[in-house]
Amino acid sequence: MKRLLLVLTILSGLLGILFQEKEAHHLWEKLGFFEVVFGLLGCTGLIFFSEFLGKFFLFRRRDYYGDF
Amino acid sequence: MGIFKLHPSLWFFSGAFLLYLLPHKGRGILRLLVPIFAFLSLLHPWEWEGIGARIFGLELSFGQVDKLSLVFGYVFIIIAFGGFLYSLHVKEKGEHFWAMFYAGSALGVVFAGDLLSLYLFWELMAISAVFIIWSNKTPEALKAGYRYLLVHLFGGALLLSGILLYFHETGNLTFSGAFEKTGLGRNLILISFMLNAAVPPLHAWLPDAYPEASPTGAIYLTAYTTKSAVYVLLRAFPGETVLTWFGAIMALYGVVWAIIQNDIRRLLSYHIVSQVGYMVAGVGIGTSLSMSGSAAHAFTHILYKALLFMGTGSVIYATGKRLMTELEGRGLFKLLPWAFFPYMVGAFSISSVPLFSGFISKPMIVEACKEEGHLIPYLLLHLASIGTWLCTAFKLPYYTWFGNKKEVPISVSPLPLSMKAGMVFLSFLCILFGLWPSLLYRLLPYPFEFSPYEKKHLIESLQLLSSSALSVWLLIRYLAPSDKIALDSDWFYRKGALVFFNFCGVIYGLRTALQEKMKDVVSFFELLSLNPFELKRVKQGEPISPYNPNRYRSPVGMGILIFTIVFSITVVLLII
Repeated sequence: MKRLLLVLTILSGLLGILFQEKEAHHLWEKLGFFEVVFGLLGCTGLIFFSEFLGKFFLFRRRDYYGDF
Repeated sequence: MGIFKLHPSLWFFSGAFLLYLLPHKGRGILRLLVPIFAFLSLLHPWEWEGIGARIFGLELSFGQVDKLSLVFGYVFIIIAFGGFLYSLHVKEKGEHFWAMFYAGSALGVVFAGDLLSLYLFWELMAISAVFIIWSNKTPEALKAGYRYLLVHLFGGALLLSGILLYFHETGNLTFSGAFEKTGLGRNLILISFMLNAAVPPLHAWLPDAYPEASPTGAIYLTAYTTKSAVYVLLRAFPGETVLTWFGAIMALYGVVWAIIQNDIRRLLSYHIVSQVGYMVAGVGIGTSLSMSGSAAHAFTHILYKALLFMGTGSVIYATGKRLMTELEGRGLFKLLPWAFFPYMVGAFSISSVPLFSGFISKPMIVEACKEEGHLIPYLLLHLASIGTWLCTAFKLPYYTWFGNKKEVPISVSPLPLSMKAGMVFLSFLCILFGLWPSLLYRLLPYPFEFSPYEKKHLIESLQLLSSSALSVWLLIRYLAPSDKIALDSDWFYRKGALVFFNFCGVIYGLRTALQEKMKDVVSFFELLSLNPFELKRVKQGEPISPYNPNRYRSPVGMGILIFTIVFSITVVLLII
């Protein structure tokens, strides 16, 4: 599964570079593989940020609210 | 034809009462026929357009028909049919009654042409939703229903206050276009709409209440309240810039909170918050593309979100369990494939995977956001879509149907045919709209140019989905659910309720203390009245001899006798 996803990611990055947009709204769109970087970093960041929030601020026992 | 002169809501309201006259099988047939007839009414809008009433000199309009109201009307009826089909096996009449009422009220909101009828149906919707939650009959459902009721009564009060102030300010009660830019009334109406759209921090009622409804009841809840709020925002507040920011923040907020949930339907409830965030942002951007995108996304969202709730509801129905920590590693994939595959169709749709319904609607809003130069909201929406993908397509299915194997056996009840039929119906629609976007695009209210299957969109989608999937797969162990709850803004009114309860306890204590003091005072006067001649001893707390009435009887009697004699002699002398 990991290999398949890795191949897909590389393939999609190559496709992006091959068919990159000439008219781009933002500089990064000209790179052609921006979404690959954004996906990898964004996903990792979201997982660790959420877990950090949960563990250090938000998690409580299931009966925390009692009768309310 | 005459029967199509009936307003679509009326089919549902009358159907709700007819339910009680029919046996179980008859009720099932009626529940399938009502949305079909309502849909036929919707296809003949000229038959009932403009209907209304006049009450206390005020014109009420129940039949405002245009492309915006029609697109919401179509999907509200389609999902009623899907929900009724899914719940055909349920014998509980109460839930069916309130589901019919809920659907009818939501249609009433969509076709209301004035603020008073809007308010009327708005409140009916809230009450119906509460009874649907209570229909689950668990202690948690009862408590969550009360909290839902309190929050929505507050929202209703805001809406009514806003309407009255707005009427006072403008003398206008029509609800057909964007509100005039006037003061407090308009702002209160906006806040009440935002509350129903579950915009943070006014959103906690949603993930609090929806998971407590029954597997069938929750289907209706996912469809109507938030999406009717998106409808009224589209109609009354197009281009309200603040909504772009609120929408983008809520899209990300929803996914961050979803990632740390353990309850499968609470996780999906946070994704409602997130997805409605896209729609709210689309309203705020205010271009034809973004607003049509909001309407399109509301349409597709209603279908795939109901499907996701059907999949997870089927798991709950079959196992009686709702936490991933209880479901993980029990081999549910082999036991409940009927719940897994439709769920995954919903997950691919919500994650905007090409060929599924979300792919034709969500990118419209994100693209409009980019075109209008809202860079930060664009990045937030983009990031939120990664969170949706990782959570709904990986975390939830992995830790529900797969996960690290446990040797504890689990008993699974077979799924009724109706549940399977409901899921197949919605799966079909999610794929149909994904493959055939123009089927939906032709219904949208504002003209736009957008093609989801352009090479550029497809490559970007593939890049984002494959790279984030790779990232999730490598980090899946960090997504393991924790047997905890996560705090949210409902903390303020749930813990606030505790503070209020404690405050009431203090007030009660004060009253009791005061009562005790008053008792002492009364006792003092009681003692005093026993023998006023011994006040000094009473004050010093010394025992006193009780009052002896005989001791004073003869001197007092003698005094009265002398007075009577003197008085009588005086009267006699005066008369002579």
